[in-house]
Amino acid sequence: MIEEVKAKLGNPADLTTEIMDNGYTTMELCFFPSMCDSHQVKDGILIPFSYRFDPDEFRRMLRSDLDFTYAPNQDEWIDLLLQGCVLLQYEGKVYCFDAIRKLQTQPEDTEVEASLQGPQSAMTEDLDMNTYLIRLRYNSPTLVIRKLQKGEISRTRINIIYDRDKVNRQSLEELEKRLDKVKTKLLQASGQLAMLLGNNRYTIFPVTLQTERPDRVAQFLNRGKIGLLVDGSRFAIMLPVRFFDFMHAMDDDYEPFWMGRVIILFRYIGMMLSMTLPSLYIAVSMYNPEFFRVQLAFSIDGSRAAVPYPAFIEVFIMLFMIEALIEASIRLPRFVGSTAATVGGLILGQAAQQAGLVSSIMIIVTSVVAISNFVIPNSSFSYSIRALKYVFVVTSIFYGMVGIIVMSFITVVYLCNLRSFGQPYLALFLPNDKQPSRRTE
Amino acid sequence: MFKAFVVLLICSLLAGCGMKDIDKRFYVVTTGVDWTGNPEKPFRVSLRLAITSNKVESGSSRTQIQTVEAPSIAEAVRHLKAFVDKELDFGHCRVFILGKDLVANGNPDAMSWFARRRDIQKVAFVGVGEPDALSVLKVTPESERFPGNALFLTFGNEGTESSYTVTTYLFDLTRRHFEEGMDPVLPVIRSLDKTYQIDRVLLMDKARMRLILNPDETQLYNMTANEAGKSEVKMPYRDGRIVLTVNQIRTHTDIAIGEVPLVTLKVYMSGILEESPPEALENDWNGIERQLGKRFSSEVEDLLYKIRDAGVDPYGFGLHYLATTFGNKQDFAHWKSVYPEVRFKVVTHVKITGPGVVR
Repeated sequence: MIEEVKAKLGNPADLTTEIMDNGYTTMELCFFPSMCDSHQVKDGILIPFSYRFDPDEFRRMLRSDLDFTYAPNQDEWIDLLLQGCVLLQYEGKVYCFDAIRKLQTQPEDTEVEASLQGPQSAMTEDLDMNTYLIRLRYNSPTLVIRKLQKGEISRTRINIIYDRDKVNRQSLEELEKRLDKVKTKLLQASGQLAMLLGNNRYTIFPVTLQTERPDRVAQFLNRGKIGLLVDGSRFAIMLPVRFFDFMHAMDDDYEPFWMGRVIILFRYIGMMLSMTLPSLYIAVSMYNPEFFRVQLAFSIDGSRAAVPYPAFIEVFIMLFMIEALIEASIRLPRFVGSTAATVGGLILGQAAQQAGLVSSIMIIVTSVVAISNFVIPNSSFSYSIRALKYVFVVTSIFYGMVGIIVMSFITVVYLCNLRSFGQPYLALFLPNDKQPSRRTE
Repeated sequence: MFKAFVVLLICSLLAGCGMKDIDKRFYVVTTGVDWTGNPEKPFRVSLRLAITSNKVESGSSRTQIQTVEAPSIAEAVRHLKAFVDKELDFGHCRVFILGKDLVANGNPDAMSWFARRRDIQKVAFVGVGEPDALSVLKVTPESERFPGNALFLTFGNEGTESSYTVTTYLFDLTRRHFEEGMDPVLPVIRSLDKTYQIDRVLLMDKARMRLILNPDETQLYNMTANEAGKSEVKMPYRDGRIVLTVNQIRTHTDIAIGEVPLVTLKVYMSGILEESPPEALENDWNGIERQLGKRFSSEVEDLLYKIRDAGVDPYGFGLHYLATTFGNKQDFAHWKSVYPEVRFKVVTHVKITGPGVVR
């Protein structure tokens, strides 16, 4: 066996091959020590083979232990080795021992979708751990987990999970069709898979939702949605989704009813502001100043007196600064990040206005836009809103207030047109739970 | 994709030319129109323009006044554009002041300019300047933070809410000008040294000024016609005076259709006594209510007869009459012919809710 493996792998330096002899018999062993858990190898193979060797018991163990699988097929050997299994040949038969090294042994803390009073555990970058977390939360016999692999080189394991009774069959079929079409060399993150699965490359709004919260996955499964877990990524992809799912934070379900509603309302207001405020500023200060109250119009007029450029250039300057600041604070290492925020904040806050580059009202507009964008609970959705803001800005430069109104209308029409895996994106109401379950399996 | 881009590019060419930055506009805050008496150029148009500044504090408002004489208002404004460096914007012109001479002599059709300009808000306030509009424009109140704000606050009821001040909106003036059986009413703005005095009202027929009410009559008019709360009813009582602050006032008009119509005005008011001799209310609560009501009724009746004799109808009794009859031309002709003899009856119900103190 060893020769064949070595020939196929090209004798890599990190492959350990051994012919072991305990005085009674010999066993051939080969594995990648870096990919295997050495304790498991020791406990599972070496101890029974050396100190406590009993030929009958050893044979029985090989045949009945769950960790050992019989691997007669030569073509499989390399795959198994690369996944972190130990191959051993005993009495002419080749067995595979599962000793994959696990980096994560417990759930991580939520980082992206923090919650005040909800569960604090998030998914990890290990597929089996994630599957366990979901099984734990959605402890139902109808939960289906299907396995597949994607990526020619990475061979990333993917689990499709859904509730067999509640799942939307139409979406499931659609998903299968699209998964068949997915061809990629490296699959490293769930976001990548989400993009490959998406409607087309030019969709402005995300049609799948990525979440790191197992409680959210469970909630979605209960609503008949489908989840995709990608090995090596702490985010599950949920589909099909609606517009309103993106604006929903798990805390809304854990807080008292009215408080939750009020917060949701604020979130929608924040979204609208972050999307339209810069364009409103342009439209109102360039086309329709009578839209303001007279007092506000005069103070904007006064504060803009020192600004040499028209309002839209001012907006572009400030929006570029704030986007650069946000981008910088995400990408920078944590200990430099605070410096960037301080420097940027100072420039945005005071200096730019004193230098007469922008008006003081524009600084307020910019900060409202930035802050209310963070109110959106889902990051890919908040990216969409961030991008859409520029469409509104450009429209308002040419058409003023009318442009903004027409653009909002177009946005709503577009949202109505959008489908997430066959389901309407802007559907207001969930399908009724009382509908007869469509059980087919 | 390329096609969509080209369409977008073409669309961007459709942009209008309404684009003008907010700081490139000169805001007119008050417009004054005076009568010059010169038949060649009868109108003197004055614009009070706001000079905005970054700092906002009391007394920091600065304005600039531009005046020109012209045969019509539209020509005057067109001409005034040549006097200033920024585009004139009437979007925030909330106050229009007509000179007293203009109201007395002018041609009301020339005023249609206000109603026709699209950038003039129809909720703008209209008043009469005494002695003329320009002198009212020149007043710069010390307390003004924003240019022109003092008049906005006065008329808009955002700041002071005085029962002596009647507010007339531009749309209402236009409506009353054309409506049969209802005549325009305008507040009189008088310029004092550093402030305005707005406690009179000017009554017009369809074309000219007819009557100016004094402050007391103005308050009575405002209470009965506009149901203005925060007003007062007063009367002498024994050796002191009783002042009732009216919190709520409701009026109801009934017109009995007869040979000579009888207009019954029912007034319901309630409020607290702000001034009264000691122990007066405890002794005769109902009596005081009755006496106040009686006195108020007679005062209002006097006012109504005075207004009737001037030949104007600011209350819109004529309109009410038309609404209760078939409202055709004969009806209105009949009303016009009998209006000088119309009789008025005012019934007032006063309710004193308390003496204003807790004992």
